[in-house]
Amino acid sequence: MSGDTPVIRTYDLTKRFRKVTAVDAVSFSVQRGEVFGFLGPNGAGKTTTIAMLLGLVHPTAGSAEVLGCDIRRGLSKALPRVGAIVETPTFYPYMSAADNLLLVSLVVGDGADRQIPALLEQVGLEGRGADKVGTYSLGMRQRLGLAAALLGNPELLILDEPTNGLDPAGMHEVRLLIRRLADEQGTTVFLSSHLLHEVEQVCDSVVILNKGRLIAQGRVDQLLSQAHGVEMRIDGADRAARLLAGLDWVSDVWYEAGRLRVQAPPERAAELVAALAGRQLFPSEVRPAVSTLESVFLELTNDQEEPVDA
Amino acid sequence: MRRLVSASWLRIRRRLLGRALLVLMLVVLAVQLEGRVDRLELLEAKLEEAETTVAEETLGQLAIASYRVEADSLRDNLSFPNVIGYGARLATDFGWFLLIALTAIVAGEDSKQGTLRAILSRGVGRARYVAACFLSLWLAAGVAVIAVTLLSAILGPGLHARANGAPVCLDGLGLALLSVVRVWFASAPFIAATLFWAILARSPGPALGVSVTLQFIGFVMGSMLPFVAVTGSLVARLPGAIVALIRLYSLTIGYSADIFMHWGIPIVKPTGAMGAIVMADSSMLSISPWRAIAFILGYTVLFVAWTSRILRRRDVTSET
Repeated sequence: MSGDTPVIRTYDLTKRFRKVTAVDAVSFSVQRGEVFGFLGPNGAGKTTTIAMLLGLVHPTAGSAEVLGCDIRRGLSKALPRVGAIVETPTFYPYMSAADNLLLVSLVVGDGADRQIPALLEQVGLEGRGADKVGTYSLGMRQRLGLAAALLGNPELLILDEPTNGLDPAGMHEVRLLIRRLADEQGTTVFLSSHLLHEVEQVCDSVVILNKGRLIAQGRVDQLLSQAHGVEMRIDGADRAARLLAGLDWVSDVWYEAGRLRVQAPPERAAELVAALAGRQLFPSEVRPAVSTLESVFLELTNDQEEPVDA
Repeated sequence: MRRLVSASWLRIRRRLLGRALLVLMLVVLAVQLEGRVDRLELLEAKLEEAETTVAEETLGQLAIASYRVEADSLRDNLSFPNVIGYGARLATDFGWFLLIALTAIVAGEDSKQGTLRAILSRGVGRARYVAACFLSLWLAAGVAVIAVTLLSAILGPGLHARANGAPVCLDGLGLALLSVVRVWFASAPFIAATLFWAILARSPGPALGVSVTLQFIGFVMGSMLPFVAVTGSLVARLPGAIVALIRLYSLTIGYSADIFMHWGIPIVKPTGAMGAIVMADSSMLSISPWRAIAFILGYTVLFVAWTSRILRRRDVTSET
């Protein structure tokens, strides 16, 4: 597989469970070495998509490639190079954490068992490896799941809600670890999450799913900049809105909660004011409206019908 | 495949339940062997008494013949080294139930608690997963058979002294060990069938219920039907339903396993001792060991292949 070939590529990937379409013709690609966010509300189809990429669920239509291998035919060649957490990490509760990792290392092969002490330390479970997993909290299982996923130094990590059950410090550690894996080891990370700030902090690119359909994709910074704007208080808001909507570099103008919101680069706020002043319209307050991924997400999942490309 | 079997074997070894079942089996076997010596002593006493009181009556003669067959068989089986093979065969009476329980729990837990997702997502093919599960459980059965063999070998000289009285010699050790290997071989279809139910049900509980119930029905049929088949074929025309039951019984895994394990050795169980006398004359129950081998292999391959097929076609989600 060449360096330019996407690590994951899906083509109209679809999954129907009887009459319910869980994933509806989803197409996206993940580039090597990036941290890729997979966003969506509960029931959006994130886990089903991941399950298809890992060969756990058979697609109804469409296709996908993981590490250059078709998921219908050659996935067994790709998956030994993939580490994954799917839903809540599951282990044998009557075995110790170290034994559970040993079991996974036997499946993975290539002397992966030698990594076990270092991985336990890396995920913050040093000194707890001999404890039975049945005694672990959800957060500790999540950490152990991450260690299991990292066994064998996978090229691709697929993590489904990896910070579920972790305390804030644990969440921060996991985000740092994900970023470090991508930056220092070149590991591609496919991160499914509904924690928008988490995705905003660690991801390079993002796909947003809603009701099984892909509604937006692109680089996080581009998505955010598209949603940035200027908001102002002004008398004669109707006239001002009509005037600003006529400017070719303004994408949209609307009135909301007593303020006029203008979708335009915040650095061009002075030009907006100048244009208004030219028509004797003087805003009493002007400020940049910096969007977060949360606002983008909520806007898209509430309103968007057509896919947005950033 | 070797790594997969090692992984599956690791979790069987770490299960306290597996070790507890093994200890239980050894304790029950020791009690059973002791009980068989007591039974032999009782039969010898009965024979001595019967020969002096009812020797002239036909029914009495039949009873005496039955006692004698059972006593001779027990004496032979409890002699060293025959007792090694006998112990292994005897252990299967309840050992099959324990093996079924272990298989249902081990094979069903992956689906039930979601560890199957973690294993398959590492690139383990579904057919390979089923094969590894089967082989590791068969390995566990092998370990149990070895433990039973060691127990019989340890208790054997003492049992021999009480049952036989003659000095211990090692003649027939090879045949005794061959019997042990046959017991291990015969365990394969029990594992395969239970594996099938566990994967089909996606949970240990229902698999355990179905497998144990079927085995229990087979066990009860095995205690009665050979006797019915033999006496029925000798005395009168049997009702169609009974004939159908006997034919059905001859198709069970348990029957094939019994026939194969007793290759060259008379099947003598206390409940069926009378029937065993003339079992070879019965046309309704085949006692061909070659047919039994074919059935054991056939059932094993059928259930493993069927289980793989079910799993290959299945979506492995959190609900499975």
